[in-house]
Amino acid sequence: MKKVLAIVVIVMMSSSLTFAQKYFTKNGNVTFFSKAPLEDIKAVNKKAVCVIDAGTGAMEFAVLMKAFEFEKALMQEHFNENYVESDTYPKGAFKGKITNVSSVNFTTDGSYPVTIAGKMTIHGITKDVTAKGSIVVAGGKINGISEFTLLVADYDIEIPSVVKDKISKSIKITVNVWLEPKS
Amino acid sequence: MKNKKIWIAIVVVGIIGAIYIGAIYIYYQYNRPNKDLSGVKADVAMSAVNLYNEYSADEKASDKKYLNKVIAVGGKISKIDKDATGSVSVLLDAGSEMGGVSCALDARHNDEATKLHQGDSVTMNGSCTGMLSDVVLVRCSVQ
Repeated sequence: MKKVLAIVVIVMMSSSLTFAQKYFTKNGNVTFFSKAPLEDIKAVNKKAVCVIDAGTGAMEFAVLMKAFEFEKALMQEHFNENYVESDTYPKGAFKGKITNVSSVNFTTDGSYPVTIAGKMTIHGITKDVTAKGSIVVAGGKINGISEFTLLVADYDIEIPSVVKDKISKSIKITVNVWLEPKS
Repeated sequence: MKNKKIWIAIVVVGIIGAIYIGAIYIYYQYNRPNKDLSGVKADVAMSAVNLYNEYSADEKASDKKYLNKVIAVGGKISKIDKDATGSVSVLLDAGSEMGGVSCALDARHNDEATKLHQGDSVTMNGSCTGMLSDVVLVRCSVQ
């Protein structure tokens, strides 16, 4: 009886150790990039919040639109005022899942390819998004990397007709986050 | 007759000059970099505790009040983070377990972080972008 109890306790403990682990950062990098004939449009957000649950594979991201920093002030103003309307919609968010989380070993260093599926909310519009990426486990911390494309029109963002032909209708998003175990 | 020619010449030169000035102005506007806020007078000066508490109580109203505003925020440093790309964030304590005021340094002022230590009292100047788990200020510098 004691043995059984001990086994139950050990199993419970080990499962809570491996499955309850969450990883977290408040300083994730999200970059967006758009090819344009005159010059490329690029912005970096260094303050993305990201949580990954290693047990369930659940994943959440949140960014403040105004925290996207452009090299040129005018671009940043246009981005905020004319495109994403960040006064009305200050946040962007992603809520989803690593669909193949079982193939990631969060306790063994290495690089694991992952597929992420979930819902992206930008400009008040929510759309299904699937992306490929990788999770690099190193010394108990993880580095999440992903790159995917969004269509501007999906999020009801209008490109003024004057520049319609000069601005790409798709935006490349690069995610690079370093997460630490959440105590 | 001669007068008329002179007038035409003046007008033509004037128009060309205006176009030049316009072009220079547009070029300048187009290439204008994001302003270094370190020398800019803050719109509001307040403590990290007050800013965080206001945001926690009513995020929408606080967004209206503070978004895009330059805030000089004072507080105690609870954490200094440097990420793999070299970006530095200084977290100011707001008396809450849930969050604080996070100040992302302007890359031109990254080296100022070496002078800062956990527990120091400091005033940071930056542009308010809203609240996630922390209230986030970007383009910050130490005052």
